[in-house]
Amino acid sequence: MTILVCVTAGVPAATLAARGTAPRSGTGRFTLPTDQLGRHDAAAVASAVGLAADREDVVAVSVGGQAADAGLRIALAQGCGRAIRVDRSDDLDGPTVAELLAGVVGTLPGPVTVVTGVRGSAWETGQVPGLLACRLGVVYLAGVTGVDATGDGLAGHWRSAAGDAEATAPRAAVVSVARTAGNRPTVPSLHATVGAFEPDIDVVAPAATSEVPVATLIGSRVPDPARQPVRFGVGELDQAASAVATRLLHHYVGH
Amino acid sequence: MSGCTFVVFPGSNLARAATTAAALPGPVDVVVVGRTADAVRSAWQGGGSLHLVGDSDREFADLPAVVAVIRELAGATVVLPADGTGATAAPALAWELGAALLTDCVAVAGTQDDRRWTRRRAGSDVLDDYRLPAGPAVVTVAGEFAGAPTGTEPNLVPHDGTNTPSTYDGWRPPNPVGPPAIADAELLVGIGRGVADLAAGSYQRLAALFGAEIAATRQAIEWQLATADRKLGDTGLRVAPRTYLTLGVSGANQHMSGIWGNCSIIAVNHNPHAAVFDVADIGVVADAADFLPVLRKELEVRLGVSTE
Repeated sequence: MTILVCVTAGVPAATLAARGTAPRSGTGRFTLPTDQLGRHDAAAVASAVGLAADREDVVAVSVGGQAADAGLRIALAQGCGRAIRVDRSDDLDGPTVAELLAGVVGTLPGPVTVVTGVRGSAWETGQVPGLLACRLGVVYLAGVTGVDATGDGLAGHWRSAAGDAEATAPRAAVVSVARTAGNRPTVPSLHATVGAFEPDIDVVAPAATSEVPVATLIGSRVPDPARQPVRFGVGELDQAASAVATRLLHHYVGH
Repeated sequence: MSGCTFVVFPGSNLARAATTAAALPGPVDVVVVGRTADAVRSAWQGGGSLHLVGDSDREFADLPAVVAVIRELAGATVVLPADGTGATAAPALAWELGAALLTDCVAVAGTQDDRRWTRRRAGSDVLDDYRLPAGPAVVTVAGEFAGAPTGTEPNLVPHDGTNTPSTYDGWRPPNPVGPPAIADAELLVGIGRGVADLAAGSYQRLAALFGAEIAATRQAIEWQLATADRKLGDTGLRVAPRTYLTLGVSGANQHMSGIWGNCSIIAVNHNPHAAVFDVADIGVVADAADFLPVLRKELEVRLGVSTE
């Protein structure tokens, strides 16, 4: 049995390029780390490691160039047993990433449980886990707040203030995990961090993918000036109230 | 093949979906999954033809029947709300239809022959414009799509569901939505520990003025300013309002992770360095106790009502 956890690392080249051209304030705000696991990927690694009986069962996989190694090293430090990088350095869309990950699943032994962040693996598009489940023809447990191994299967949990829910699935499944307290990675020890730089990362050539239709990026721009953040101080409460009221009533039903 | 087919699965809010459908370009066919005719009539004020598929709420069990109906209809672009259920179903529809997939769009522009769909790039506020390929495409749209429903009663067209087991029988969408009041709210007023000193009922009256629901941070709930079922964030609900007004909320990730989609955020906080200002469209650096009376007065004037 294998647990494959999908991670990405760094910011896509196109986003880094945009950072260089965006004005310093008001636009071009970046929230993703450039040298850490993405927030959804970090939740996936924590869940995958918690799911495995033996760390050797947990394989971290990433699709990208050499920059993706940083994320894989972090996954190794947080408890993954080995790492695979599918060597594609261009910015990829979700369907292509899903195709390439499906190729990796086919090379692994036993039933493979694929764990991703709910919006992990392709820059928070949320496309990869669902497409991967379709491509593999397996059950998809989407956005779980927890997942456990149960004999020869899995149990996914959803927790909310409205109540708890649980669903079972065979081991061959795709599980996307939500960012919750239970899925937070622990900070690896110094020993684990240093040790994560020792193992080789298996770099594999991308498998041939079938032709998938994709949308074409035709341009990028900074947001509409009307959407620029505005700030009011203590002496401007009347102006602030006017601006806030306008925005609140914009969607007021019947207004 | 120029219009849209808008698909609403169980778990998505019908009234809100009607406003989204009204904002889509071209002729729009609507497919509603897993709802009874009575439920649709009471919630949908958008007119037009609604195709009802299946009458169970078994998540995606009726998905093969949905695909069959979509193929019968003329829309080249299949659109779903970018909520938990829609986001989960979109890849499956794209796979079954052999369609391109574009998620979390916030706007669409251009002519019928040259349509541009816009999505916000992850990790930045840069907007990317996409052109869909010539064939079928599946798009999810976030909260900024909102039009005015016609208010007329829809023409319901029932279709049979399917009892055939499919791959999607085992699929489960993200966690069950919370109390309808919050999960479906288009306008939310979020309270943090900064409102602890406000006069009793002040922010509730403000929320009631424009039909908003109250949400809360963990600290606010621990201080018993709101009930636990109104908690947003990592340990609470994930919601996708159109507008979120925060009062005395610091903007910690643990709370803001409960806001999905591209909603408009208005922040009121006395601390000019509060993290919430990094994501706010409108920031008011003031004590909520000072600002709320001014805002309430402004709203009352505009709405022609009084809460005194």
